[in-house]
Amino acid sequence: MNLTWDDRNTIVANLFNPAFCGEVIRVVAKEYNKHTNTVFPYEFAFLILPILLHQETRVRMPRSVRTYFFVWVEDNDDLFYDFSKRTKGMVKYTKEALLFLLLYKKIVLDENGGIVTSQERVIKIDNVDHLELNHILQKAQMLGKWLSASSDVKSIYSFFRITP
Amino acid sequence: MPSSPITDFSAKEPSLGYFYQIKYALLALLTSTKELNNPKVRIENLDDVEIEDINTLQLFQTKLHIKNKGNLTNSSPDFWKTIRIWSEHITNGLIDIDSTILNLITTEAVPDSSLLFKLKTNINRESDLDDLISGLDQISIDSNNQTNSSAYLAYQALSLHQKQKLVKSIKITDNSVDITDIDNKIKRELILSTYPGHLDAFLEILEGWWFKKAIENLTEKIDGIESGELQMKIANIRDSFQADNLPNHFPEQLEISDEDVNTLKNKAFIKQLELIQINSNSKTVKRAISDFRRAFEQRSKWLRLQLLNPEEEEDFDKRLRDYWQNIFDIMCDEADSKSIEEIHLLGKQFYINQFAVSCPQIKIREKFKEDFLTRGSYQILADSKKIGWHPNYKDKL
Repeated sequence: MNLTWDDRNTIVANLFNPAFCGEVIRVVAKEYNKHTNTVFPYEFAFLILPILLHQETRVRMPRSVRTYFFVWVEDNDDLFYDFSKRTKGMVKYTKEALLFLLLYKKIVLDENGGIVTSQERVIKIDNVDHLELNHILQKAQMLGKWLSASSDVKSIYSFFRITP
Repeated sequence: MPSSPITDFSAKEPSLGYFYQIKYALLALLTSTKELNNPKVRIENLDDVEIEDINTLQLFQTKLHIKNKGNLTNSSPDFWKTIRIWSEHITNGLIDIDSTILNLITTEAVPDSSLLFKLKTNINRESDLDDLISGLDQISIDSNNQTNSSAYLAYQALSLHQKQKLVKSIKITDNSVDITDIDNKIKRELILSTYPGHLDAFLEILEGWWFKKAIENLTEKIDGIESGELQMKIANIRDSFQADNLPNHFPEQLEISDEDVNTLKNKAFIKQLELIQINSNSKTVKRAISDFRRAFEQRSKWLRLQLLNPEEEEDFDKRLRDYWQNIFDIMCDEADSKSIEEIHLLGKQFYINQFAVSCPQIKIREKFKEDFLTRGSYQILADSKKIGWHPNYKDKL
């Protein structure tokens, strides 16, 4: 399955480290759960990293959730032409991040595979060295809220043309 | 040409109209390429724009309005001028009306109260057809609009049967994209042809070529522009973009100070160089540091921009290691019977000849030809002790 830490390419290991990726996923799920009665679906977890860690996509996210998610995707379809490929490339980092979160008890899965998160505050570090990190976390909160207002998992996956 | 401070807009509209027509031709060919069998576009032949494949002919009248953008009315000159052209084509036998689609593309709107509103969709009901023909008949007889008079005559010259076929073939597209929108529409058609973010530059190159072809067509140097030709051009442009699809963000060598060296002196890749007796104050070490940093930053950047996927990164490392393993093993065989001093020298030569003076031709992408990336990536691998220069580097570090 996953390569051991020492065998990894340092750059990939740093950028997609499970603690960081895990926190991004936790923030999205936490925010989602806050705004809806349903529990964050497991399948949504796989969409988070390809949206938020892709700089161009993240930068083009609107300021507020008033724009509909689907409308935004339509208007920015040049970002999503290879989205399914990007998503597939990120699957292993998402899985690893979820394992990490489970291990450190930051999330639990309910009987339907929904993700319930711990309630720790999202820590943003306010200095110039962490601008990118802050931006990712801020947009993570937005994405969580956004997804909570969107339709079900199936339509979102088919909307992104992600097939098994 | 000196221009008066108050330019008459009516003069701008026609010239923009020509641009619009030519851009529309590109859009029409791009769209129809997906639906028709190797279509061909002609500009200003039977009509403003004409698309033809084996089975069908589509004529397009393009009407661009910028100022006084209003409604396309029943007696609008835009509509009747178009009817005149098409009627004359039928009378003169220039088109086979059964396999021709007549398109009127206008930036104006057709109000739903208008007789012409029905022409926005295909006419299926006989009663609609009869209504339209009697409506048009009436306008062409009753109206004394001077501008339209020759159009009315051309229309009246058709037999009832011909009128029916004419009306059935007409399709009006109103509220059509205007001159500023058309670029966006074209870009949308090209979206799968290149990388995101390259689309504007891509269109710029394609349009340059397209205008050249359009002029050749208008001056009758060529009969038309085929979709195959357009497809070739798009592929060519795409190739040229692929060449730099991994942009080089760090084209300059870095200045490395003695202080930099000092803070890094405990790093494994510097120690690896010390093992083969390359002094940490040497310029060679500074070059290695510069390469390390540039490669590290560049590869991180590509990943952040997702121009490169993580698998490619891993694969690149694997290829670098494979290559190194091959020549390293050969050197180790040579080292078997050597003294300690000779082994040092062997390692040093190995590094200098293979990785410093020249560098293995292993590329992260075929066309990214910057050596700093390969060199620096080897330093990164040396730093994690996955490779080394000294035959016994593993025991000595």
